[in-house]
Amino acid sequence: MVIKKLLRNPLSMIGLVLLLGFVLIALFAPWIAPTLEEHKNEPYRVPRFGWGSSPSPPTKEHPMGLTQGKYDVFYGIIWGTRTAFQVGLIVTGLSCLLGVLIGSVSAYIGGKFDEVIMRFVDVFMSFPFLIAAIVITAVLGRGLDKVIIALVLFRWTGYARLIRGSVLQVKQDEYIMAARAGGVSHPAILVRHIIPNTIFPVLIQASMNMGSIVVTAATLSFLGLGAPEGYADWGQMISFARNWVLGSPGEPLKYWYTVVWPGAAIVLFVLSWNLIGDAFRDIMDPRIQA
Amino acid sequence: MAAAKNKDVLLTVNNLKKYFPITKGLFRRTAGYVKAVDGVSFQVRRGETLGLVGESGCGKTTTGLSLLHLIQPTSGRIQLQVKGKMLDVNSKTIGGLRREMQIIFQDPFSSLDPRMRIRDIVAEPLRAHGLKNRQQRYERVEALLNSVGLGAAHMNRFPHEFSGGQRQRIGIARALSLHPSLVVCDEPVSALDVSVQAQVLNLLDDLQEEFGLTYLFVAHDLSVVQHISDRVAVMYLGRIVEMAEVELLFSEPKHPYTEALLSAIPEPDPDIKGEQIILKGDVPSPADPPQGCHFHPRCPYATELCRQESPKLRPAGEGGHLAACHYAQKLNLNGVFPGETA
Repeated sequence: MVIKKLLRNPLSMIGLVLLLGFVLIALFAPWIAPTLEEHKNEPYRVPRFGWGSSPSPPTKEHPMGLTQGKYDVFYGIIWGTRTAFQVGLIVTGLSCLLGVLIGSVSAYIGGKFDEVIMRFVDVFMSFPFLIAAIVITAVLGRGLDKVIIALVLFRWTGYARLIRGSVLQVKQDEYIMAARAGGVSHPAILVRHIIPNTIFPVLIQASMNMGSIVVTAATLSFLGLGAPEGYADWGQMISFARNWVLGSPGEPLKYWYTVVWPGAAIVLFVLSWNLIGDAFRDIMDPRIQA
Repeated sequence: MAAAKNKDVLLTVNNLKKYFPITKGLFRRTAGYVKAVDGVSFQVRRGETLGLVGESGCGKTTTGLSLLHLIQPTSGRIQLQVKGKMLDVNSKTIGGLRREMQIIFQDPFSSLDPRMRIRDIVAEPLRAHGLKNRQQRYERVEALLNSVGLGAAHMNRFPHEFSGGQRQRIGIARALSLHPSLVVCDEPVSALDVSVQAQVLNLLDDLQEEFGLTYLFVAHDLSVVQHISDRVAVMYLGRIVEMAEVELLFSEPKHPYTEALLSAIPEPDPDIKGEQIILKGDVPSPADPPQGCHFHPRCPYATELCRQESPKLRPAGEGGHLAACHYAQKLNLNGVFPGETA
């Protein structure tokens, strides 16, 4: 039923088509941008063609040009799609799981327990997200896995807060009391009644966050805290463009390809998830629901 | 109650209390208590229906929920007869006694999980009590749905596809799935249309006969209570003020509060001018009940004694008629005659 409604909404259709495109690119990356023979064992390493530091414009062999350090932009974009999905799905999945678990249990038990857990959540939330992530990656060291840990650590609190509110409301409903009267155990009530009735706002939030997670990961890469140099990652592709964004005197658009391609990839990726999340929210809104 | 032979007694409730703390300030200091149920004692005999009536906020629902430990009672003793033995119902034993005591809820719209199919809603207590075989569960569900007037065709549907009356039937099927001996009916018809109320009440009547059920029927509608109950207990501000056989209570009330309630039953014939007793003021707050008899500020017969001393529930007439009024024997109160109300 949800899928049918998603297909009927033109905006979410655009989102789905975009997302499908990214999925296909990620799946068929080895065919779209074949790995060079000498890098067979490390396909995420973006090949370099030459040793100069300045970018070179698109050619037949390198349709998106070479960025700073002669890295192939096309290869980086295609394989970077896989990185974007990895970071997005792992971070969203883990932080969602953690948030739902902690938030729902805390709200269901309630009382002092809930109070303590929520103050704990407050502490996490009081850090500016980006700064906290920068500090964590700085402490743990550079690398995509560290970025993922940092993002999960400061993202679960939002989900926990969100589901807690719904659980506090739903746990007062009579069907919860009816389940207890029927002898259903507390964990079973949580899994079978509470979570199915509170999970939708979280899923909507999660699909909206998929995009912003990728942007944040790209930001960390841009700041030099993310993937190691040469790793296929959109954020890093943009960070390579840092010195070339303004072009050269008299030719402001001279190096446009260094920033446009990775920028477009990120924008479209975020857009696709936001459109889907938006449509999801409309569909799940109980006031619109028949 | 001395008249009730012990072996007939299914449920004994002794001095049941439920106080809800009122908290204040940043640190949730307990500033007082709402005495929702304040020392209620009664017995329910096997196979009968005990009606529990009172205004909203008098603690009748809290009493019902406390019996099943859906709300933790503050104090008091609850005993249930299981296979000839009186067993204590407390937080340790309740798990094993759930199959003997079930509940039908007031609101058929919030008492069914909107994301569950009917077959899973009705089968849930069976599953929780160890009936692992899905096929067997669904066979039981089908039989239960048949006995409440629904059928196999409804099993795969969701609650929002049903009307209020049908939903209440589903709630009844769920309550009966474990073959309980006692069913607490918490205002099971007050959320329904009047035309549907009668159907559900008759269904409850039929099921009582078919399954040998005992009901504790909580309600605020006196005509409903008169229709279904064998005995009636009237509650006011957390206490039982009168308890008697249904005909006796309606024809010869012994407590002024009961008299006032009865006089408020609407008269279907516009030519008959019944004398309505309009009580002064509101129900006092259960957080700060009046001294002496809880009812004295609103009682037309109150005296100095009523202001000083709280009356106990005492025999006040034949057939185990009990009333908590100092003047139960002296006052000559007006009742309604059986059959006079709809």
